[in-house]
Amino acid sequence: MKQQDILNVSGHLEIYKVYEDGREEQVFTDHNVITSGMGVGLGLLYAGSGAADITNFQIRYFQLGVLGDTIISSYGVSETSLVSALGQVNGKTDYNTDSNSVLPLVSHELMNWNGTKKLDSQSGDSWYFGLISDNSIKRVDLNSVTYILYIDRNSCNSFTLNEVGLFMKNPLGSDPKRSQLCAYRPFSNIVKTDDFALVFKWTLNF
Amino acid sequence: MIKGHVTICKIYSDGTKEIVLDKANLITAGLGSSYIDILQGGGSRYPDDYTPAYFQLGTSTIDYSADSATSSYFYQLSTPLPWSAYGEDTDLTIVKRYRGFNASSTTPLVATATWGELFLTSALLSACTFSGSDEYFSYIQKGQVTKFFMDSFEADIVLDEKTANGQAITEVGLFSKNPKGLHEDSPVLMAYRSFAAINKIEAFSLVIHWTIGFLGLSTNIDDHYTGGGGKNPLSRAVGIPVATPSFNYPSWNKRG
Repeated sequence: MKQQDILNVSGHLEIYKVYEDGREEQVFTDHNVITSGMGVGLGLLYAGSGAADITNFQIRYFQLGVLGDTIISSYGVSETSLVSALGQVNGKTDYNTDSNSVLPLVSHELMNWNGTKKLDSQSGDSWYFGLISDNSIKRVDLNSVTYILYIDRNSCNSFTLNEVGLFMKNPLGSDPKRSQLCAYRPFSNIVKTDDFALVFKWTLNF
Repeated sequence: MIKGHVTICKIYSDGTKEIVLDKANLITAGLGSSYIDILQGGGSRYPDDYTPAYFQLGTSTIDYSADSATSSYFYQLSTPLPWSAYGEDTDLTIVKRYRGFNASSTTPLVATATWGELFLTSALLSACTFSGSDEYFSYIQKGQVTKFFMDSFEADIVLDEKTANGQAITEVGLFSKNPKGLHEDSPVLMAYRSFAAINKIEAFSLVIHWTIGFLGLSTNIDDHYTGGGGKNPLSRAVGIPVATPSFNYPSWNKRG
């Protein structure tokens, strides 16, 4: 937060492969993009016109996708969804590819830029999201928070992952729940196999 | 990127409007740390406690350096007006509240540690605690905080003809209601602006129009510009079209 007049909301994403024998390999580290959805959520919060439950303004979900490479040189703050999030065609088996997968999932609506629900590639209105548990959220200083997303060895296998997004829970307080993309990052291809788990370490600074 | 913008107008009794300030303001660290409280599951449970609910006026300025990484790390006005300076006949409701701030200590684990308010400096999380001190604030009424566009909100503050007369006002601060969720409101500074002295007299009201949001970042979201005669707040954003000025002061601001 250096500029005189601006609160620079920024973020940094690190991705690690973690092998069964404990070895860690960093495969990505770079800044991320805070999307305009974060601003919409904050606008609703500070104007007192959004959800009545404060937990709806928390970032509690994430998605992984496979077509981030198509916008890697053009993506920006206007993104409202991943290019191709997992789960649209095959449902939760995209994430839980093995019966031993321990990745918790939820399913509900995704918010478009104007507050309406966004439809998926099958014209459905229900999207799969990975759940971010309480113990995966750590405050690192007064104005920074880190999210740890853990994709175990039995999840998302055989996919070439290259995009990830964080979602605010339900800033409009909609029923059914409607989450909003507030941070996004495409990354270099990672072909997920059961040889390793993936750990996303995502820090947001306000 | 969260930006704020302040427009201050003198409104004379014949309806004449004179814009005396039309500039960006400083979003302070209190807004960011309050939102981190939400993300982490700390702070108040009620969204209403994070909304702008109080303001202060002052007669000096916080001199922060634009080059400093901690320029926004302060939680107070330099010299806030005492209760009596608002005037006996003011339309404002002046209340004493426990102004909240983050404090740090060099020996946080010692029982006799001495804590000091963070002022233009940061500290390790483990060396910080939330504290406060009693000061006088004016309410911002609920109807004066509204949503402006999808990604911004605005607050209107009116100092009527009977308020703060004889004061050379040089700073104003916007405070969230009670982001820590304490038993009684503990306002935290969320935005600040200093300016050349405005010598408040009975001949005019002052209207302070405050906008905070993700301004000028996305073509999905409407941008706006107050058109008040100051520098376009979006002028630094290359290639982003500026919307037509769209704000008119409501008629209730024009007294007389």
